[in-house]
Amino acid sequence: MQTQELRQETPAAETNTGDQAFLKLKGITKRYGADYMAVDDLDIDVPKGKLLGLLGPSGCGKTTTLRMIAGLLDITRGKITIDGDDISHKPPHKRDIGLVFQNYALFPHMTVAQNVAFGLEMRGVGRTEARDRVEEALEMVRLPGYGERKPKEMSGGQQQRVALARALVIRPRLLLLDEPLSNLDAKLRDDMRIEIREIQQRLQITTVFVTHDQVEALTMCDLVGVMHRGKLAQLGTPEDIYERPEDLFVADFVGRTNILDGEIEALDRVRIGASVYPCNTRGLTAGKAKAAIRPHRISLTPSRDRSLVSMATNAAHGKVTRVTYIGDVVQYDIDIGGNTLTTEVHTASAGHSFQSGEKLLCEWKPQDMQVFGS
Amino acid sequence: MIGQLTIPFRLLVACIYLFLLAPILIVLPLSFSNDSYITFPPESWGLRWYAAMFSHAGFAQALWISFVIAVTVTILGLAAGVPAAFAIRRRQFIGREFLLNLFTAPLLLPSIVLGLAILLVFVQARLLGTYTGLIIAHLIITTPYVIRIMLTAFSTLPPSVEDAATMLGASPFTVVRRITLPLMMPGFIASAALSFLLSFDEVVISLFITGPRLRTLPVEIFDYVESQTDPMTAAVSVVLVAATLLIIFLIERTLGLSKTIGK
Repeated sequence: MQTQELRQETPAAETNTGDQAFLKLKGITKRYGADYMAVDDLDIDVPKGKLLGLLGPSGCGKTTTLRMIAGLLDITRGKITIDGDDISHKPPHKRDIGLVFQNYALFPHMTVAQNVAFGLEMRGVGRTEARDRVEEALEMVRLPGYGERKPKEMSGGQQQRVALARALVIRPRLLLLDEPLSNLDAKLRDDMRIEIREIQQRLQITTVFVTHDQVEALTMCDLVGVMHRGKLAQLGTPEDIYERPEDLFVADFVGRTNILDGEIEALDRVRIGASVYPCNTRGLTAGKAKAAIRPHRISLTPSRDRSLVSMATNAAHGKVTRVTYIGDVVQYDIDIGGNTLTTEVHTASAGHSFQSGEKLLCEWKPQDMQVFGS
Repeated sequence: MIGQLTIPFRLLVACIYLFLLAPILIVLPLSFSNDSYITFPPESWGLRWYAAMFSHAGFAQALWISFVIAVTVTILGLAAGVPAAFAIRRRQFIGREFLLNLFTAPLLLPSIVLGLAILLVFVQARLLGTYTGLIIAHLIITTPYVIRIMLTAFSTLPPSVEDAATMLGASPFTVVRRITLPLMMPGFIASAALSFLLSFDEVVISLFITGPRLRTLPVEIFDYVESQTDPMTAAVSVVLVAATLLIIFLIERTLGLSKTIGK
C-alpha cells in the first residue's frame, strides 16, 4: 500500500486557523426501532475551510451521519450547528448545504446549464447573473460550454463534475460529498481526487466527505473520522490515524496491517510465541493482546546472527512461505515460528530478492509495533 | 438478428399479423358497403352507412355518453390511483402489501363475475342506469391499471434526484412540480390513455348496469347487432378503431417526445 506516498501536502499550521469549530456535531444519534443505533452519540468539530473525511466500512453510520447533517434524515438526539447557527431541526431545503450524491442525481429532464442553475433559480437569482454564475461554475469544473448538453450525453466523470458545479454554484456554507468517487474507474478517480481537493482548498469551503476508501480519506482530508458500528473510533489528522491508531479496528481498517496474537508481559513488552519484543503497549501492562505492524515497516535481510542486530531493533528469524509480485512492491509472507508476517519491499529499492523457502531476518522498530488489548 | 430471419419464420410472423388484423380487414371494406344487409364482399359501394350512423340518434347519443364517462373515469382514476401508488411505494405502513393486493385484485377477476357482483350491489344502491353507477363500475376496472402503471413509474424515478432538488433549496411542493411530475409524465400519459380506452371499450360490465336511457356506445352497438343485420355497425367500428389509433398515435408522439427531452 502506498498511502503515504500518495498523500498530498496538508497544511501543517492547523492550529492557526483551526481552533474555531465551524461545523459542530454534538451527541448526534440516530436510532432505528427500539435499540438499533445507526449513529451513536457522535461528537465532531470541523474548523472553517477544512475537509473532514468520514471513513468506515459499509453500515458503520457514515452516510447516515451525512444525511443527518444534510437534513434528509431526522436526528434522534443531538445538535448540529453551522457557524453557531443551530440547524438540528431546520428543513433540508433551508439549510444552505451543497450535497454531491454518489450517483450524481442530475436531473435527467434538464440540460447541464438548467441543472446547475436550479439552485440559483430557487434563490431567486436573476437570469443574467444566473447565466454568468453557471458558466463560471462550469469553468471551475473544467466543463466550459457544456451547458446545452443533457446529462445522459456525458461520461460518469463529467456528470460528477456537473454535480459538483451544481452543489457549489449556490455558494453553500457547507459541502457534503457522499462517496463521490466510487462510481468512477481507477484512473479517473485519481484525477478527480486531486481536482476536488484543489477546488475545496481554492474556495476554502468546509467539507464533509464520506468514503469507505482509506486512500481517499488519507490523501484528501485535513481530518479523518474513522467510524465503526455507529461510533467514532478515532478522529485525527491522516497521520494520526495511520501512525497512531487508537484501537485495533482503526489499525486494521486503515492501511494494511499484520495482527499477531500475544500477551503483554510488562509495559511496552509483548510476548509473541516464544519471543518477547519491545513495543508500544500504549500504557497497558498485562493481559492478552493483539500486536499490529505495517508490512512496509518490516525490513528484510538475509539470515545472519541475531547478535549483529542492534538491541534497539526487534528481529525475528523466518522463512519465506510465499512471494507475490505486485509491480511496485513484492510481498513476502514469512513464517516466524507459528505466526505469518506479511511484508512488502519496493521493487526499485530491493537490494536482494528472496525465494520461497529462503531463511531471512525480519527487523522492525519497537515504536512501529502497536499493541492493543483484546 | 433482424434481416436474418428465415423464410418460415417470416411466414409465421405474416400469419400472426393477418390473424390480428383480420377483423379490420373485413370490417373496413364492409363499412363502405351500400347494401342493406351484411354480405362479404359487398355488392355495391358507398358512404351510405356512415351517413346513416351520424344521423342515427342512438349512436350519436351513446358516443357522447361513452366519451363523458371515459373522460370522467380517467380523471377520477388518476386522482385515486396516483396517490395510492405513491403511498404504497414511498410510505411504510402496516397493511401496505394487503392494500396493494386489494387494489389490484379486480385485475384477476373475470369481468362477468365482477359485473354480476356490481349488479347485485347497484340494485340495492339504485345506481343502475345512472352516470354515477357506470363511472364507479368503470373505475373498479381502470384504477388497478393506473396503480400498477404508476407503481412502476415511481420505482423507475432515478434515485436521489428529489433529494438533490431539496438540497438546492426546493420546497417539497417545488420538488414535486419541477422534478417528480415531469419525470413521471410518461406514466401519467400511459395510465390516462389506458383508462380512457378501457372505459370507452368496456362492454361486459356496462351490459349489466346500463339502462334504457343511459347506454354506452359498445352497449348500443351490441344491441344494434342483435336486432339489425345492416353494415352500419361496421361503419361504427371503423370510427372507433380510427379514434383508438389516433389516441395511441398521440401517446406515441408525446411519449417519444418526452423520451427525447427526458432521461
